[in-house]
Amino acid sequence: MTERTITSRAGKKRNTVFNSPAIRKRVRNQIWQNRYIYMMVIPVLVYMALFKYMPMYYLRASFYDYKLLKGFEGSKYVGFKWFERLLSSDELWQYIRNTLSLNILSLLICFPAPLVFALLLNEVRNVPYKKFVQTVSYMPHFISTVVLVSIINNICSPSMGTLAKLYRMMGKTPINFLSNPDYFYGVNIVSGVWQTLGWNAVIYISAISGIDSTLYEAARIDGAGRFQQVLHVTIPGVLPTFILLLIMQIGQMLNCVFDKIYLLQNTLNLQVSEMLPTYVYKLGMVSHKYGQSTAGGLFNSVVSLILVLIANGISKKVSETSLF
Amino acid sequence: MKKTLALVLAIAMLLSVTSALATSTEAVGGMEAGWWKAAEIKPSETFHVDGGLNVTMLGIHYNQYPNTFDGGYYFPSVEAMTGVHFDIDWRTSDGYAEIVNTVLANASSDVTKLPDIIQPGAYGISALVNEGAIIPLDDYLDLIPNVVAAVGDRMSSWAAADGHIYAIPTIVNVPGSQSMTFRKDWALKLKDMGVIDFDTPSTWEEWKAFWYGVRDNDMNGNGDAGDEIPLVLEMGESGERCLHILLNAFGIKASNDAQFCVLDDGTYTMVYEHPRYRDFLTAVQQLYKDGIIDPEFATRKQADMYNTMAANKCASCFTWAQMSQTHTEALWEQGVTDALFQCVAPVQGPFGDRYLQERQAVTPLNCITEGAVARGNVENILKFWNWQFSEEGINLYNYGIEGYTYDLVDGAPVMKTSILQNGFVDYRTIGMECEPFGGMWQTSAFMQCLFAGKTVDELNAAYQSFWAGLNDEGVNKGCYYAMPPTLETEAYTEYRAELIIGSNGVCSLRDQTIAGQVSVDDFFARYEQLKSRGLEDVIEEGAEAYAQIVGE
Amino acid sequence: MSATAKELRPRKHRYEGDFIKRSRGERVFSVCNTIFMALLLIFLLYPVLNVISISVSNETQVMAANVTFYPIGFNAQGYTTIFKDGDLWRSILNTVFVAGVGCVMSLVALCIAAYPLAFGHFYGKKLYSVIIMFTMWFQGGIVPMFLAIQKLGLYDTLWALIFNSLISAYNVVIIRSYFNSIPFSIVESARIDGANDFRILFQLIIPLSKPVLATVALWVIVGHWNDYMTPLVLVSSRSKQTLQLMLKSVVLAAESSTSNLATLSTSDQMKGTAALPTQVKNAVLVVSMVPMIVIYPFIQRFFVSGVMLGSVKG
Repeated sequence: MTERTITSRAGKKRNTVFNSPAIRKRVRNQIWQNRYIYMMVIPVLVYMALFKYMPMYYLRASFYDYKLLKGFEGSKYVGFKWFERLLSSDELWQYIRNTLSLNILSLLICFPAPLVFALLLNEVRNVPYKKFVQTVSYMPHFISTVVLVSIINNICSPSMGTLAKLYRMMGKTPINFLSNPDYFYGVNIVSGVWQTLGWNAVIYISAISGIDSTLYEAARIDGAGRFQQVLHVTIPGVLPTFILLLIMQIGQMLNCVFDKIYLLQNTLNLQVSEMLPTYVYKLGMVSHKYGQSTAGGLFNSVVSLILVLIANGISKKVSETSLF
Repeated sequence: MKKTLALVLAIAMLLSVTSALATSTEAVGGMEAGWWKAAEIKPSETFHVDGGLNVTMLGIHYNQYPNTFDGGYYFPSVEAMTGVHFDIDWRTSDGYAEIVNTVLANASSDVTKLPDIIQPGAYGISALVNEGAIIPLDDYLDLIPNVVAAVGDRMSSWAAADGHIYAIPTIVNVPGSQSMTFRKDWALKLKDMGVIDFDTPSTWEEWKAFWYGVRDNDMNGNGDAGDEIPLVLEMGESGERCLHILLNAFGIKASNDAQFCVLDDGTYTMVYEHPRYRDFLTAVQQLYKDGIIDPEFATRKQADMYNTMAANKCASCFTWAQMSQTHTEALWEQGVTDALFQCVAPVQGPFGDRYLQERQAVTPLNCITEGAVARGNVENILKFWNWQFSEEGINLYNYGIEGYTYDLVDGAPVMKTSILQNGFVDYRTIGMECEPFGGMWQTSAFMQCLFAGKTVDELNAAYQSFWAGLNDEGVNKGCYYAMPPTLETEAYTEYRAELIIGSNGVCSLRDQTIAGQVSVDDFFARYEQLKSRGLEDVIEEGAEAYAQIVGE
Repeated sequence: MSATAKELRPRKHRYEGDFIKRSRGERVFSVCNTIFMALLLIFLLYPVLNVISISVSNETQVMAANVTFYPIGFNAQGYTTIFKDGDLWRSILNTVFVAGVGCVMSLVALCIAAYPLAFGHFYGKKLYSVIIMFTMWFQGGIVPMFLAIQKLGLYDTLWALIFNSLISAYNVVIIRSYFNSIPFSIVESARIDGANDFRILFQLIIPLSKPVLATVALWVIVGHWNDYMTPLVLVSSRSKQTLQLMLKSVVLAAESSTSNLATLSTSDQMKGTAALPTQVKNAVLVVSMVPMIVIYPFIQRFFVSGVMLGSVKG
């Protein structure tokens, strides 16, 4: 994050020891000068405290056998019981493995796909056609997960789906994509590509359009064909963006698109489709184990945070840009 | 151009919103809107709260009942007769547990925010007890003698696992209304083709012959021999409905959620402990492999199953007897004039077992909360339910208002034919037999709806099939067993999330075995692991609780 | 052609010179690329076309999987059925309210939150920044969120949905980055002229930030429109159901006929059958996705600038 250096006003002497009256006066002065800024800051802080930090306070439910009706006073304190149970269960590693498998696959396929799409789209000569493809490619981004899952059901259903129809036309038995664990990740990845391809390409498209056109000019003078231009100008031009996003993505390794996974689960794919967030949700909202659920959520959040910090550290080293 | 298009669309949506909100209440079920307003309803002599009582309630609305009761006679009449006004927050069963969560959290440290009555639904009575939200009714039984009498000796379905009574039940004194059903016309077709030599499959071998025949032939004549499903199964939340018919065929008398059963020696245990469970799994796995069992059984929801019936794809399934009638007629309307879903006796298994679970007559439904206690409403609410199970209450619930929807003939209520024209559809649409609310449904009312003033012989084939699916005289006669309850013991509540419905739970394991992803031997090996992780406790505590309830 | 002549030629398009020089390989590639894009178009459009076709097709044809790109046995009964459903329309109105009010409130709040980060130099700025950024990487989770909203008395109100996502750290970062690209001298001279920061923000900065605000506005609207999880947890009354909850209960419910729609279609179409026809389900899907699909092409031109700033400079 590149802070601009600004030379006006106070703020530069942040580390000064506040000992002399002159400095104290300056501090007061500075605060008074910034009174409107503080009028902006304070409501935002109040909001953050109420809506973002207060939920964190309730994380302490993870140390209780929390009962909704009784609150903290009436619930039994159980210490680290839920964490111990979580960490010692075989399921935890299964959930983490499932999340990682899906995310790694998605990193290999969903993640680079928009870049490839952007590069190819950039090579389309016919401008109206290009614009049309681009507009259409955004559309799936605006479709909700619930609708997406219904669409997946429409298409994959072995009895009335289009895919089943295709299989039958080829004389094969339709595959039940939705209840066969082997296809769970596949369905997720393909629908993921469908939904994110165009939208995530926006950033690459803008990066490409931001490349200085004289670079192409120079390459052509050097006798580069179009492939060479792409190879030597376009790709290096978007690479920093790609790497930055990649690092961000790695930080998200333990998260999943909750709605989609949750709505696509069934008893036959649960072995591969249960992930920490869905498990935590069911534990809390369906099985009423609020304390245990909160503990699971807290564990997930902490591990995610660590991942983000690591990713950020790598990012700082590699690309000299960091997220924060 | 784009802007005009958006504008037009926006206006169109706005118009439709206003038109949708402006729709007036139309006449329903052969009765004028507000027909009951003309009726003079007198306060009840046996129970009336002077000055009125407002009762709040969180309830589950389902299926064929109207969910806006504003136009119905029932609640206004109840209020006129008893002075009790019900303020009911109706929810769908889908996601109901989440709703209860939120209602409880809202009342955190202030129980007066709880409604007076909560229906437990998927949240479970034991979980409500755990939360301290509801009260046991054991000490109040003398306030509800009618209810106690109505339950009679069916205590095992009324009491909870801890032996206490927590809910006012809803009682359905009506024949078991689910049945195995199959496409009779397809069986006849197969017989003509020489594939099978019977009209109606009965034994295991015959059923298999029928199913394999359906699998290999183009029964619906659409040119595709592969799109008929020999046996459609409906999953439900954890496989409760779909596997019954097959468990029963192997002599396993399973509970409602297909997790528990009572062995021949009277022991209550999990179905997986049953000596025949291995045979069941092996056979079902083979059926799945052979394409007999619905390939989508794990994801097939009730509505999807009905869709396969209406789409001329389902050869046999286990469902409400009424669905045989409605889908036969739906097929007729589509021009499949010889279609017939015929209700038949349950599949007889390879060991000669032929069983069908009885319809659960007594279902604990309405729990009284600490909120009602705080408001001092408990006594009046219980008295109301006692009234609901009195003759007056039963008549209003089953037959409506005398002179309008029924007449007394020889002292027995007989419904007017105008509301029976569409069988149960109109009857329920105007708000009669409001099962989501709870009460006692009489066999007589049920039969009147079914026959609509006709005799069996006058009914069409679809209705005759429906009739046959009911137990008194029908095809299932003699096959019924009393369905064991699902006892929510402490161990059950503790382990259900992980060991029963969890990702490595026994339900998932069972389905994977059926789908051939896990071998039968592995199933039992992994089941033993689950037992050592806690299912053993579930079994033990369940057996103890059952012995205690039955002993009482 | 001399070098000077080449330079003098106007350069309208980066690739203008290519026409003559395109090699055979490049032409082959061009053709393949065009075809690939066409296939991609099919891949992208098919699912949506399929839903629309099903929503206006004959039920029997749908069940036989015959309906693909275009409707077969056209009828609009699905739509006439859902037009009667008050619950559906109410859920749409609720969602429009949340998305509309939420969008306006969010934009104002986000600008106020981002302004001090971009233009302020005050004691505690670092802390302020950390407090906001931390929420991007660490959240309380479902149960705690639910408990907090309930404690705040917002539980089961549409305001809970609006406030819960009023200020998201990610959006603050994006707006802040855009603000940073505005020359600081503008703010400085306005301050010298005696304008206070609120005036500067609302009269100077916001009008200059239209692209990013349009983009963020779209995100907020789409976010609210398509959110399933938050309303699932924070809203319970039937009268406050949002569109996605309604959709879920109509389209993906385990039990049949959990909605009014089933009752309506039961009495109208397939007398007595408790199943909701696929056609009706898909009609509901279409109604739910149309508004978003209609809105986004208008804001499309802002995407590039908005997204670019957010992610790269972020």
